[in-house]
Amino acid sequence: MNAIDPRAPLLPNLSQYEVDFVIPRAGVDVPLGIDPFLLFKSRDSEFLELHKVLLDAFNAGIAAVRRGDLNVARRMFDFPEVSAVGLGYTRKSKRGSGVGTYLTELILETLAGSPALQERGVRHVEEMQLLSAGVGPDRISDIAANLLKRFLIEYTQRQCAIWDLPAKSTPISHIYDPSAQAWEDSYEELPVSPVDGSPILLVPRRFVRVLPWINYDDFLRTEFNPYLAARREVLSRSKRNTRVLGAGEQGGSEPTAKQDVVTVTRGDIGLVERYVRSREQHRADAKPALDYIDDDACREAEFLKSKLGNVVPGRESAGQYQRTVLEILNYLFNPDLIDGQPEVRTIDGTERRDIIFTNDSDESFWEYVRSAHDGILLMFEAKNTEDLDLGAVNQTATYLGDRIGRLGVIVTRKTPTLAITRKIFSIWNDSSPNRKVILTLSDAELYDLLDLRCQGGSPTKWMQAHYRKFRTSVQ
Amino acid sequence: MTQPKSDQAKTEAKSARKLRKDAAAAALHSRRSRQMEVAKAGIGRLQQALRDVRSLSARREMLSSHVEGFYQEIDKLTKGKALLEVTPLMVDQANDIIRDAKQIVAGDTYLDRIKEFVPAGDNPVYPDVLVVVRGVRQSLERGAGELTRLRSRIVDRLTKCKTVAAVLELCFELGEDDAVPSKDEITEKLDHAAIDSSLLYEAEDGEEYFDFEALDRLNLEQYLSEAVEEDDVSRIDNQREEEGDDEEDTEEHGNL
Repeated sequence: MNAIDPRAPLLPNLSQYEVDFVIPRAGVDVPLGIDPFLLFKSRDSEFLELHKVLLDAFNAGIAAVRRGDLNVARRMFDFPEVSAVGLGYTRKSKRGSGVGTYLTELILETLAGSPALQERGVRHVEEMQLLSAGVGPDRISDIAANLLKRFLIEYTQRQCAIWDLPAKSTPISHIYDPSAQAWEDSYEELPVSPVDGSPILLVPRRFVRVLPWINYDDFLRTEFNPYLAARREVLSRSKRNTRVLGAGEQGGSEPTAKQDVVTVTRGDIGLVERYVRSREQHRADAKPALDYIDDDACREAEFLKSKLGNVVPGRESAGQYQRTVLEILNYLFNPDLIDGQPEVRTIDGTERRDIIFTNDSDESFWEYVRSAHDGILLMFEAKNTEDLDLGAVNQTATYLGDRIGRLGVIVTRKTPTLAITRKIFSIWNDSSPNRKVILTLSDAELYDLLDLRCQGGSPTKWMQAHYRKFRTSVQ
Repeated sequence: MTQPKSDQAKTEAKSARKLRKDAAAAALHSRRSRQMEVAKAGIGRLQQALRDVRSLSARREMLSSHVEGFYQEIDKLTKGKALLEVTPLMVDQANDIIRDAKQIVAGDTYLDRIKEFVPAGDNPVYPDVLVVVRGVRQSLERGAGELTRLRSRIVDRLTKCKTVAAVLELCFELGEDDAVPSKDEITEKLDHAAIDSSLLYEAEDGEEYFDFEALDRLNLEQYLSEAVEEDDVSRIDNQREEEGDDEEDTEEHGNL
């Protein structure tokens, strides 16, 4: 019997480039964690709500500690490892250190040792790394995975539908219910590991980092050490003045162990507060990890080019074309454009958009698109026709508006005719003051973009130039 | 018996001649009135065009001055900042300059090729702004000559209009549609302002008189239009000269 490569992707028919989630590996964890800060900084109201769920749950536990209700606190702070997400830093297997109970006691001990923390609560669960010697990045990811499990289940089910992943009813335990502030178990339709039959929970690429944005090492370097240096300066001035070395001043020596650091932070929560504020101010630099993707980018580009070339124009292949376009767009723009969903219907079900992405990017161009064209969503219409007709352009223009933003992209097989280009210009001109922009992407342009991405170039910069060309053409 | 008939025929012929003469006089009066209307409308339109051109010239001068200062500042700032983005204020100012220049300078291919910056998240770098502003600056310099030529053309048309209007006013004052005012009379009527000598001819007595035949051959609306290109004006003038050699009666075939 052939041994399974533990690093092999658990969903072998998908490329990491083409999908919105981190593909778990067969036998080891992907060395990443869920970073709650990426939820906090998101512009997507759903993600912001998820961050609020995290905080509310955690602060409910803190409130229980403050009341002396340790049983409730223990229930709230029950964060067993969620091996179904396949993320972590354990090199040898997918099972982590199994420290669920230990983590609970760590949190309780931390809170007991810090009345200031009990009083203040947390602004970010990642702060626990700075207040407890035993809480590291992996524990933060565990806490998030537990509290976000309901979202992860729904997200996984959505991705299964998009990518035709087989799912089956499987027991899932310890799902947090925010309305009841309680944990529940349930059976859910989820994909399972072909290796051990355990359920798989998919995590959006947008949420993961190697280290959380708020992390202990960074805190030590940027906040704690300068604080310590300032303290030493004060002490040495004091010594020069008194010329007497008091016994209490021995405490001014540099704490080398994390335990020493957290003793200080528990007593002076302002240190944590300052550091967290500073990290919040630099939120634009907090980006999801990409370096875990070790597939060959150029091979992927060639594969996608070949796949696109094999789609025959026409109504019969519309679905195949749409999916190929989704894969290409994920390859090109994820994690700037995330959660690409095909066949999105409007609330009343009367209209259907081909592909909708959430634009949660920090890239200047996508930020501009989000603010200048009024929307966090970005629509791509996939038209698998030899010739784009006016009806398709008019339809796209109709879709654009308050709900979906005012920039849309028509992905089509050939470069649009002059008549179509003029129509697109007239839509811009006639839609003042809330101008509607329709960009087009032909097969040839998608090939160029795929080549660019393979060569390490930026498809986002290409889109920016494409957009500028449109805007200067209509001047 | 034939004599009375001959007298009757003469009377009838005389009456017919009178009718024709009256009809011709009425047609002439109508034409002169129409020409007067066209000339007066032309004066109003050309005076407005002249004001517009003067205003454009003033705006061009102001913009040139502004662009000069802006260019110098960007030039200074560009040194050592080649790959740095300019500030949003600079982008706005550069775009204002491009937009204003396009309103002032028309028909300049190179200015037409210059487009406003579209930052789309990233402002342009200093050298790009410098090059573009330099292009605008030069288009404004070219535009100065074009505005001068346009102003000269309008003044020329205005002189023609005023000359035609003065001549027709003189005729109406005299109550004679077929009067032919002399150059001196026209000059006096215009308070010694410039007159259009291209519509005068020199008679055998050595005096210059207004050439109504030439006037009647013209498409006056086109001739007095400020929108006519210089080439068209030359063509119109040449056409008028060629037709002026023809002695054919144009009274009934004038363009008006």
